[in-house]
Amino acid sequence: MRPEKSEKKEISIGISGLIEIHFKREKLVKAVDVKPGEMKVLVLNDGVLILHYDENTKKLRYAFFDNKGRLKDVGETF
Amino acid sequence: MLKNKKRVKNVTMSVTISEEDVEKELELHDQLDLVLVLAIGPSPASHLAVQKRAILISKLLGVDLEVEPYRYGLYSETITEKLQSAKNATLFRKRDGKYELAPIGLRAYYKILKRLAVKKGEDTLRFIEILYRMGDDELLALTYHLFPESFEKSEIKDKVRAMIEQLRGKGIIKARREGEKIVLEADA
Repeated sequence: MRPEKSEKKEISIGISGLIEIHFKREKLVKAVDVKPGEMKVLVLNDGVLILHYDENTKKLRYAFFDNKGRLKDVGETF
Repeated sequence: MLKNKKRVKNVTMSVTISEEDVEKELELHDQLDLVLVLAIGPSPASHLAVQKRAILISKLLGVDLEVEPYRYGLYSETITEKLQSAKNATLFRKRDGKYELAPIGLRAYYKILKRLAVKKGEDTLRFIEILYRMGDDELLALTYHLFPESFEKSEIKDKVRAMIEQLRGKGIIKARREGEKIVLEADA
């Protein structure tokens, strides 16, 4: 079950590479595993979040696209 | 003027492609050929778009692909060879400077999507659909950002870096560390 539009979600990535998506309202947790070198995609209400665990720099890089394919936000962990 | 004027009919040849034909065709190709079918998609696509989409899709699906930094970011010689290979002409072809799926390639495309939905889930399909809506600039910014080795030999690195910097820290996704844990807060 997906959360309502504009709902805030929290995604946490543990040291094991496990990603947990916390849907606050429904208290729903979705977990995926990201290993070094892997890429994962997660569909959110307004678009798609792309995660890549860069094995060279050991950084998690992310990019968010809206549903029309427009890149809206990028970043990486420190 | 001819006494018996011949009326020439336009005859459209319709070739029926059975499910069995598609299955047999798919068995003749390796995983990377099928990634290229997905990368081209239902509408004609430029070489740059096919290269970038194929790099992203192969990474997502865990299909091995050799890439190297080149003039426009990461580039795969294998992709170029496969796009030009006569063996793949049943799946896709080049016309007017763009790549498009042949009739059996289009049938194969929908079959691969169905398989992916079962094996990888709807999120993967959604991402592939969104790839088709991305312009060249978006594809460049995405691949350069996710794979920063793209900058190494790039002739367009300043332009792409500027695009990425404009998007950085827009606040839709916020990242922070909590001890050993990384937390991404998504407001989308």
